[in-house]
Amino acid sequence: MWQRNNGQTEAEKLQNRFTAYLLVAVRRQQRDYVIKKNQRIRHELLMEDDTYQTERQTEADILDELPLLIQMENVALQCALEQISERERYVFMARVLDGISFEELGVELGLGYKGVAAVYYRAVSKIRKRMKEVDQHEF
Amino acid sequence: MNFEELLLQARAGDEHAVTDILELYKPLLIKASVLDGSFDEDLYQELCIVLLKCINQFRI
Repeated sequence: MWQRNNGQTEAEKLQNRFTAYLLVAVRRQQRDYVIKKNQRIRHELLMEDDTYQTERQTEADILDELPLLIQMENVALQCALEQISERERYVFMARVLDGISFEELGVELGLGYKGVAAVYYRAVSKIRKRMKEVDQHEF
Repeated sequence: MNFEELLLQARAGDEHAVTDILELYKPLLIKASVLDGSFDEDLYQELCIVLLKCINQFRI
């Protein structure tokens, strides 16, 4: 019934467009699924921790010990941070969370003040863009 | 039958057409349901739902 799709006729072009459309939706669902699944696993781990380690009473205490990316509750931000490069993430985190100046970061990374600033502002705009995308596409 | 007719029929609520499209895209969905080298049944179900949504939301 089906022949090879060479994108020649209108119907084949339509099918190719549909496949592309579907692929985008499938990738998004995959990503959301993985994020949700990981959050569920983390949640279960937290629950287990609670029963075995009674000396840690509050959730905040337990959360404090987890890596930063796992503590995040904002899925959009988490997603955005996972998509930017290691260096951008490092500069962004160091600047925002630890308040390290561009000069210090520059010395560390072998960049000038302007170089670090460029990396930082590029990271910020990427994060904004990605977060906007994620929020828009939430089903 | 070409894909356009099939898609239109599926949208009109023809179950056979929907099944045909599902069969057609099953390999893609199965491939996308593999996480860390193992097939994830739940994800496959989610992706089937995504396909059904796409059939209705896709603008011809």
